Amino acid sequence: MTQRRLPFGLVLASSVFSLCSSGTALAQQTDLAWGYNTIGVPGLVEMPSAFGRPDGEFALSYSQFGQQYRAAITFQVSDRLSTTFRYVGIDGFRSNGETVDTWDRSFSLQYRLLDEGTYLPAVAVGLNDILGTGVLAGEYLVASKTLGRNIRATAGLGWGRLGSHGSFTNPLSVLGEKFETRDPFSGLGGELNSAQWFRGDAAFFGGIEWMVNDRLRLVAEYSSDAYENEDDAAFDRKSPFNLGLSWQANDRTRLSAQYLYGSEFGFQVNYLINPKQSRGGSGFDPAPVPIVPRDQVAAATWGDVDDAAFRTSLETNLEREGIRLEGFEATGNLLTVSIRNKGYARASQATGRTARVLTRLAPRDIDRFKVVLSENGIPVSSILMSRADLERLEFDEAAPERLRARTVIADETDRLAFSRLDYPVTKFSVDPYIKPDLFDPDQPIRADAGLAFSARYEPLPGLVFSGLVQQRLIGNIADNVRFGSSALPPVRTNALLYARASDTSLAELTGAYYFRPATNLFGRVTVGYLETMFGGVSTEVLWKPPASALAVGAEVNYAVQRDYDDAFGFQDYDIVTGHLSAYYDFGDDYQAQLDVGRYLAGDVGATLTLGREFDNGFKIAAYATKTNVSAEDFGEGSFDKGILVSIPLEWATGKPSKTKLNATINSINRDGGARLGVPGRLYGTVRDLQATELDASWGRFWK
Amino acid sequence: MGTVLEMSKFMLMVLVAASGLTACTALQPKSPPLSEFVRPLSNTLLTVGIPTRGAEATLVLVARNQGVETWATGDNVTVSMQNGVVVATRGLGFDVMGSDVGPTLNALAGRQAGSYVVKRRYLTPDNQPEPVAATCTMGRSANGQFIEDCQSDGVSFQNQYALDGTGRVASSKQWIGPEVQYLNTSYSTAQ
Repeated sequence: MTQRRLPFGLVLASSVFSLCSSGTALAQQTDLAWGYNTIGVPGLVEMPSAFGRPDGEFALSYSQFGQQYRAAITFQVSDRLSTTFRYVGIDGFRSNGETVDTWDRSFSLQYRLLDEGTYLPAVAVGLNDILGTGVLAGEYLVASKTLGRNIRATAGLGWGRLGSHGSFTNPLSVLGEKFETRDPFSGLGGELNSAQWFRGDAAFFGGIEWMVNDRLRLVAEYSSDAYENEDDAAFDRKSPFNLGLSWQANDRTRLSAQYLYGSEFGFQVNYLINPKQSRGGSGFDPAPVPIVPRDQVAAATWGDVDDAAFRTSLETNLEREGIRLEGFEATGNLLTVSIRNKGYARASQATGRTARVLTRLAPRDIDRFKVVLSENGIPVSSILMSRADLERLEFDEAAPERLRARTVIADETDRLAFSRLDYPVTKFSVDPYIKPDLFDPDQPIRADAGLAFSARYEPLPGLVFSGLVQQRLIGNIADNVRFGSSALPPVRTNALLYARASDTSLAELTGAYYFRPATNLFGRVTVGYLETMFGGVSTEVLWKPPASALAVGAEVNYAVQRDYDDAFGFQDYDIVTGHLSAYYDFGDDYQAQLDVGRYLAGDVGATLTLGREFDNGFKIAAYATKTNVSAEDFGEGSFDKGILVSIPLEWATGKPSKTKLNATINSINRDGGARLGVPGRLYGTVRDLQATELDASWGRFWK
Repeated sequence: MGTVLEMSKFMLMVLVAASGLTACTALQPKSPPLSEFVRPLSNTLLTVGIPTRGAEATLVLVARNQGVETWATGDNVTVSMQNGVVVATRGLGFDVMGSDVGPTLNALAGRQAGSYVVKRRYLTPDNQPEPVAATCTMGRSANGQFIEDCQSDGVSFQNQYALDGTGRVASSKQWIGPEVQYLNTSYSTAQ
């Protein structure tokens, strides 16, 4: 045994990094694709294969060859469905008789129809570039079969781009003559091109993969993509054969080198994240205070307890666990404690830690604990537990299920009488921020970075004053010279004028009141500078019973456009905007949200958001907004759409934290379908404290 | 197009932001050590080593519940043991959340012959309880140590226990899981 004495914590922190290079879990899995192709779809070198990637995997890819630059984000939505969003740059693309340098966004889907059997191959269908301009448009049906342990063969039939080399008359023309023809590339974006799918000539593609060992993979393929618009412009396509070599550098990083089309060398980098896996396991959270059995507690009854001393002790003990005491109350043998979770991504953990603290401090005659979870000073849920169960189950191998079966989680509308004692609450913080500005064809990536100073003051429960000032330190967003012209009031296309006006911006200065109008109802009124471009009044009501999959909300706002350079001034444009929202939780982490209403430019329409939120808070969602603005009036992209990614810092570092890193990847901001930014919208905070979410992460109660 | 230049500028900004983030995280107050926050219940000390992490620490007794003793390091790692057999850990990252070690205790006391099942629970990174059962048999080595051979999900491991005169585990080597692997435990008395 080693005699080296190091603090445990130090060693644990460094072991997170040593895990980064550990060789575990690298071995090829039999039912999963062994890699991604150059456009970020599970597959070979350029061609797709029929297998998917591990459920939930989120992959960032970059590949480059022959004057083509491809960045992609792929999400394995479910075991069978894979989706890819990509951004492609081509230096030398023939479009309408001209050779141009172009940037293009596109979206792909791949769905596995059949799993691999002993004799039958896995079969998948896929669609590339279904919403974009059609630069990469192609459809395919593909089959893959594992031969022995380390070799796989793939064969497919492609249409569109994937049916352009070695093509023959579409076999689907037996279903109708229209399948024989396909419209040529048009260059219009944003519409679903479904009328063209699986039409025109078809061609075969295929390839072989060999896993030489756990890390090295070799691929040879026959590509059915003729590169009709790039050949002799971007690169010289001499042969349909491609060779690839990929190396799994560690659990997340994969590097590939390729020789393509008899003329070009290329490279590819994939960074693979699985939200269900974390390098810190379930987290390096400091150990919670152990449960103390009742017979070891000093005080027999409340008569033996000094209220002020008890409160101080409770506060100190909860503070150690990253929890703020909002109030407490003893009635008979029940002790109710109202808390605010400051330190954990999941409220179940804050609840468990509060329960542990209560076993240490509560007099012996208390036999039930009720923990009230509150946010913004309003109570949301209560969790009622038996003290004897906590003592009995502390080390039980099935503690989560056994405790939950005897625990009641309910809606809670009452503020405890004691709660006013802990006000006012003040909080200041300084955090770094980064604000990207993507997809300007002149310069696809721009960003600003700097420091965000935030302050919060709560004089009474439910009343919150908060401010946010951003100081830009570095960045080039203001360099943008492409002023979007717009047929609509310029509610977003003038964002640049705000960015240019000053390095210091008052991003938010509001007063908000949160309240509980009735059981299952939540309310909010916010007044002030709501976001960088608008100020005004925002009101919201949300109906969300604690165990309901459905929630319904209504929001009405009066917004006035802010001045570009005067932090406190307003312009002439004002509007009443608002939405009716329905939120639905399908279970298994899948969620949907539908907002119907009037947007900032006065246009009327709806936003649909589909997302998956893992039980640790890692969330990936996509949204689309369609309003009564025509595609022509909307401008580039035809309608607003985007991807949202939210990563809990706790997942990334393995240390407890409530902070989330959020990123939105969307089209260039246009004026149609623009929604007012309002801080403190209710659904997210309410849902996190209710039974549905507490149950989803209940295992963390004991962490 | 200057794509590569743009990419590197962007990466630089991401790095600036990320390093700022780390600095801020480091400034957050740390939890006071449990070993100082809770008065120790005994002057016996537990020494625990984790060979895979090259770490060793001295732990104090901070709680007793249901016959399980919980020991804490100075940096908020705890090891909970029943008669010296590990039932739970916290702060190790891949913690044992809870266990039923009754069959192991019976085997150490000579009340359990043949093979038996030890149940444990872990927690996945997306917060799902992960029950794991190990099938074990207890034997004795030439020097009188108890050797527990276990199989669980294709993983084999071997725990070792040396008992004192009262039948309590005095020192041991015990399997925590595939990531942490073994803990070595032994007792001493505070000076």
